[in-house]
Amino acid sequence: MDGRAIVITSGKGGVGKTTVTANLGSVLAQSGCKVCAIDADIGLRNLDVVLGLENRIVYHLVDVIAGRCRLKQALIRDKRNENLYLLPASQSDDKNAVTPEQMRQLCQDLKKEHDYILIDCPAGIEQGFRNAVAGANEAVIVTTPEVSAIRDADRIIGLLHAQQLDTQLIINRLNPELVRRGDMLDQQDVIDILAIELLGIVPEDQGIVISTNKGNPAAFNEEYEASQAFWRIGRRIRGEIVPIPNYSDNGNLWSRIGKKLGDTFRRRAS
Amino acid sequence: MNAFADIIRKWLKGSDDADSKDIAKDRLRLVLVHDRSMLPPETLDALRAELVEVVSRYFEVDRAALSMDVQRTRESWALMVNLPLRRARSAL
Repeated sequence: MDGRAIVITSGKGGVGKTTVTANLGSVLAQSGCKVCAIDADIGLRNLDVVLGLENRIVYHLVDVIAGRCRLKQALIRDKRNENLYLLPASQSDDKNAVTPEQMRQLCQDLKKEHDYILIDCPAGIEQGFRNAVAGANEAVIVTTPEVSAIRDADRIIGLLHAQQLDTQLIINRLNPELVRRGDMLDQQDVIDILAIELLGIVPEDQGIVISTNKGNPAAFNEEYEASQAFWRIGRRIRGEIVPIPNYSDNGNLWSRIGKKLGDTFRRRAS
Repeated sequence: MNAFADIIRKWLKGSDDADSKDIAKDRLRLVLVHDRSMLPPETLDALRAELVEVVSRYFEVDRAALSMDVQRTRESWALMVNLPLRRARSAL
């Protein structure tokens, strides 16, 4: 087997890299692919709790690299899906415990056994970022439609360009109502600015908060809008052509115009 | 059609103010022009001086009007230089 290693990165923290990694991992695994999600945020592990696997950790990434255990021993199988594995980060070591060359080798080994390696990258552009990117052949950049996140995403795109990685964008936590009011950058604005290919849009959804609380990725609950977005992105990653919904569409424009006219006349009349 | 949609949207909002997303977009554009140049200001100044020097061998130029900018499109990065010329230098 010769899997694809995809790093999920963003520059800015808190935009949803870990959520995206957990959900794409779940979606791809549900579709029958064998997936390994790596938490590359050494010292600040997080992916384990989002996946609800925090109680099963025995060995971690640094143990594997230091030769304290075999790779297979450190991989945790997901409780809901036998195709999904987690390689957790270490809590005690620092980012310098791993070198880019070691990450490259690790990804190489994992690719033999898995269709997809998803690498959850730490925030920032320092050593942790360089390690996470080293073993990847492709990159997915996560941003929210906010100035700070987009600015940092642009930095990361510049750095990835230099590495010649195939790079695509996910816009996370887009709020359709704010977009319609003109108070949030829409997908076209973000694409204009970053000049990068769009892989998908995940709308803001309370379901993400609820499912993260439970340690059960939203992708397993198909009634959430965000979950449907992750399924579409998963299909695109696997090569299907799936249209991206246009959230700046003024679908209910006429009803809003009618309401506004009604309000105006009522005010005049009183 | 887009301009029309903008007018309708502003009317629905009840104000003539620019949409806050347009302010965000303008601010981002400005910040990124600076970020993307990635070169320290001294290096940019040196590049500017050398560019003028080279072009001046062939043309009389308006040094003060030189503008320089780093732009990125989907495929590439480009250094955009605008240097108004006065006239070609005649061969000696």
